[in-house]
Amino acid sequence: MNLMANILLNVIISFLVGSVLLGLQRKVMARIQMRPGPPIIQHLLHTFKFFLKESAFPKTAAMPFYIAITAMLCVIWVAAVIVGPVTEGSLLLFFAIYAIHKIVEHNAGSSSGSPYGKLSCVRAVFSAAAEVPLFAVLIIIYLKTGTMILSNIVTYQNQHGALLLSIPLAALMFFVLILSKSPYSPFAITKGKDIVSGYETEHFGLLRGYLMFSESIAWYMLLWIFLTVFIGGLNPVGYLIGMVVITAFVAFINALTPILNPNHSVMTQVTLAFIGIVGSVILLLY
Amino acid sequence: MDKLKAVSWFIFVISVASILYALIINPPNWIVYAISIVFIPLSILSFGLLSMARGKKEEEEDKRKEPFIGY
Amino acid sequence: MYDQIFYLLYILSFVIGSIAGLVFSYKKYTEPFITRNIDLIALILAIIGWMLVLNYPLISIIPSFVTIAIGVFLIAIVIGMRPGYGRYETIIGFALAGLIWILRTVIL
Repeated sequence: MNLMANILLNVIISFLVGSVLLGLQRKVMARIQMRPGPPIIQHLLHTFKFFLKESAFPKTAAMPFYIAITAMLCVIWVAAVIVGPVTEGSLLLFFAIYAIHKIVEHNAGSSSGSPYGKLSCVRAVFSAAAEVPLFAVLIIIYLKTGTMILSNIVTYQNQHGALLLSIPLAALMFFVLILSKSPYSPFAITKGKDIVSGYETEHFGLLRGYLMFSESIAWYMLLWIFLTVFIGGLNPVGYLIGMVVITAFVAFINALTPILNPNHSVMTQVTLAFIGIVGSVILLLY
Repeated sequence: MDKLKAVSWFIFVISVASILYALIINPPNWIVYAISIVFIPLSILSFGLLSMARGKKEEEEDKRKEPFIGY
Repeated sequence: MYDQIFYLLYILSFVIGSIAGLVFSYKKYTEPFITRNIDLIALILAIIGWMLVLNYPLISIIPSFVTIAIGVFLIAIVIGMRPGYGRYETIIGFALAGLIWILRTVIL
């Protein structure tokens, strides 16, 4: 198939499935908290709605940068779709994409000029403590399989079994990463309600819809990478079931935990990373 | 048409044209990657800038003022 | 290649079905969820939808992707109904279709 058509197809699929999964996450959270919750389609409808709303660009915003940074978020997650489902390329590119996502959170907050944005910008740098586990996961995968290319990792798993069973602590660290990227999670300090909406506070209307669009793609891609790297060799139905199960599990955790304060959030992630890294090295050696 | 609408139309037309170019004429892979990474987000952004509602001109100054300026 | 296009078709039919279910159920039910009655139309739609999705090889006249797409549309109408409604119908539909699936694949 034409490469461009393949890319467009995968971008649209990841947007739609990601939005429905995020809506499902809200639904499961609500049910656990004993309320009906919004319809599953709500996240998708809100994304479309925001494109029709009136947007005002605040006076304190650093002007072309304030809009360009939202386009940057979409750029990196479209690149993730290209590296992932389309070409099954290198995992190091995902690390770069994740790092740039952190930079986007930082700059979206600081370019808006509002104090809530500035606090979120600082917290985004602070929560780069979650980057360490990601890098460690990549190194552990490389030490185990000898490659960082996704297609080779899938081939390795076809021969030697799922990586979830052979390097479970790396999977746990990656799961903590997914957890920190999910809405209302205990590690979501950049978007906590104590700072209104964090770096998204001053991005209204169209820009908010644009950020939601990119976040849907991000959610789908994080789950896709987890399933490909740690389980591998799934058909599309398997991916869908896996994504629904992970989303429901994440929603379960998010419904029952508060948002930790920034210090506790970072220390929890660092502690889990330490346990994960030391444990994985021990498991690899023996 | 004010400046924002003109720029948005310009970017939208260029983005859609380049995506169609990549779809119809199959250029080498690296060109397709470059076009998709740059122009898919720009097309969505410019489409949004065209579809968003605009308020009245005289209210715009009030909406852009922020309450925390001046500390 | 076609796999991806079918996947897009299914997710689109899920989205459109959800929106349709939301619109119709808001017109039909005026109260937020109070009653625990099972709606007959939703029950029939759920049973037909889950049957079409899980047991699509039984219908050989039309291509399988059309069967699954219509089934997903019907499932989405019931799942996407006003929050609180449509739970029991979905579970009953899934259970009945799952039973037939087990009979079909495991026993026969």
